[in-house]
Amino acid sequence: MFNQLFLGEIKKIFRPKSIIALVLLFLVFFTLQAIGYEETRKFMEELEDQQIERPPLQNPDHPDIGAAIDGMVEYTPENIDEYISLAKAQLKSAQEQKQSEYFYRMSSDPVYQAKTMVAVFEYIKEKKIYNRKIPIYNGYLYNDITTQHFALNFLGIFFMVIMIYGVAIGAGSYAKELQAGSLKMVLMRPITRNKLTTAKILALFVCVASVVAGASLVAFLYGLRYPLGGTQKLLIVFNASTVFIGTNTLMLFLNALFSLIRLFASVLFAFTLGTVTKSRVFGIMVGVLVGLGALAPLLELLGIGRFLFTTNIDFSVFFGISYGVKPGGSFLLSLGMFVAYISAFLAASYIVFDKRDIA
Amino acid sequence: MQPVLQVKNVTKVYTRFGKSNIKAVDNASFEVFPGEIVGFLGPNGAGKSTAIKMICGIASPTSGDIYIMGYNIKKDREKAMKYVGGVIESPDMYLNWTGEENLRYFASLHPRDTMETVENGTSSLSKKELDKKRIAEVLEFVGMTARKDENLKKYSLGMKQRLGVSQALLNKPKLLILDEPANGLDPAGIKDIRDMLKMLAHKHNMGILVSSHQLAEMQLMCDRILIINKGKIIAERSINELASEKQGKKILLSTNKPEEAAALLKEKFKISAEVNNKQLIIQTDIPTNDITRELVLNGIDIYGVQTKETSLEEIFISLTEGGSIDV
Repeated sequence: MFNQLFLGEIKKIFRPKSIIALVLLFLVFFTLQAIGYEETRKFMEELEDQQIERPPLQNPDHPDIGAAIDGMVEYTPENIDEYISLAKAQLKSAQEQKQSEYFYRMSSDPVYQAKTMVAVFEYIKEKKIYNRKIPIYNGYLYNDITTQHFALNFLGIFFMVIMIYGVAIGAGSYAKELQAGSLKMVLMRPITRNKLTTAKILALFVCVASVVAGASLVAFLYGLRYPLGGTQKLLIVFNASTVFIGTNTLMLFLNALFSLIRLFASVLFAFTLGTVTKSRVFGIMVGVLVGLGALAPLLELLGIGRFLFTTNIDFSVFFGISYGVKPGGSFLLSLGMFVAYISAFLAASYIVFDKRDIA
Repeated sequence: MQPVLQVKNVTKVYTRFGKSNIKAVDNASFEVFPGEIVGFLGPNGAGKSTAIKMICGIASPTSGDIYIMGYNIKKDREKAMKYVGGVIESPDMYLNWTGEENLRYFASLHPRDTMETVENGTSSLSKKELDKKRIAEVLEFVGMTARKDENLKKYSLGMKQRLGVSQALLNKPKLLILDEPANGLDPAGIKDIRDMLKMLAHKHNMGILVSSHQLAEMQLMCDRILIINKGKIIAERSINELASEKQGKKILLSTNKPEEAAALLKEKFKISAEVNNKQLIIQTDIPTNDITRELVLNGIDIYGVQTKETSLEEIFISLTEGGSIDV
């Protein structure tokens, strides 16, 4: 019986009109990005034809952390200690900056970033990764036009569309049926409300996951017209301490996975709002505002950024050099907050709907 | 005989902001047996819809128990709901789907054992085939086969009512609950529904609970009537009992000595008459001629006589103390 409930929910979500709207938006965003990439590629070819050399990003006299992230540095037993010293100096400076609390809470956590860099350079020294250029994953990996770059960027741009679409279907999942009256027809069947809620949540997940997977795949396949950077190795650092060498494929997968987690958490939030308030419009408005992090900056000024819902649904910040970790934040804190938020939303949805009389 | 529906001391209290308590249903108890159509009557706000929602499992009683085929709706919800079909308030289904798509979805939510029987040769069919067969049957039954592929947005209210009845019959329910089933139907449609329900009750042994405002229609359709007012079941009558109550008539007499006339009628015929200005209002089955003759022989002048049959509406109003009703 659960299978039938689930399939029914899938059918309710994938309405022809919403699919057409989604595909049209997809095509618009996709075309715009493809045009942008094509023009950039032509420009770069012109530069090559004119034999204009791009300026080197690294000044050999001074270690440059930006160039290190971009993979423009070749480490040697001679220069690695300089990088470690530079990162440690940054860490010290960041810890001092922490004393000035107002500015500290205004930004992303500089202590976390400096710790990450120290961990990365120490890993390079320990593993003796010398005389080769190796980038550090930071979410914006490439300066060149590559397949991976196209796919990665497209998901970033199309994210907003998927978010709005997901929040709209999530907020309306119960609220719309309640207002239309069709819910009472379903609840008169030999099913439990908890099973229906589970079917709705699973269907929302499948819907968001298929849109994310579809968008990533199409963008990746189209991106194959550009050079493939898939064999390139990169350094991935987790939680400012654990470092390992990964591939571009892993990085693309992680990016899609973190987007999916973030999107689904926002959709679940909108679903809870719609279920509890019985208002689809309220669910969509608040869901989109919170999902896109529009309300977070104001609250961050109070120094509670690391506890906010928006902050704790984006796990990509803990993989690589990121500027998104809030002061005082850490992977474990985020994971705990994430579990707490999701549990609260699920509990509210299940309990409120199970106890509610359908008017 | 085991009732298909047993409502035992059910009360529903709505609390608003933890302050005012509204008792929508007050200690209601009644039963519906297989093969009978029970009408559920009451003025607006009497508690009909709340009671029906509790029976259909979409609202919970504050206290009391509801049993369907012996299963407690609170404790054995899934088992109890296997035997129920219904339409509450209005047949709201999925407007973007066709009639058949709606039925396919609702049919898929019922377990196969409620649909199959060895006698009708369906036991060897897969659930999907069984659903398809049953959908075709119910569409045929309500006369909607030709319109099954149309989007619900294009349906008239009458067509939606028919489709609503058809979805309620998908699982061959033992208890059918219909809230205002004649809404939006033309006279021919109302007759069709009435005939359908009579057939379902009397040939298929279904217990049917119908709520309606249309008293005349209820009288034609139902075997028994429950009257609810201010949350309480205030009367329960079979149609025969109602018909005998309806035999009574009212006599309106204009006379010069109303008080004297009232006393005389009480003494001679043991009937009480209401005095209203110069008019006497008498509720009785005694022939009008006998009453007027007796009054004239006792020197009371009669200026006018009017007789009026007691209508079902008047019985209803007298029971519910003036609640509004459409006839």
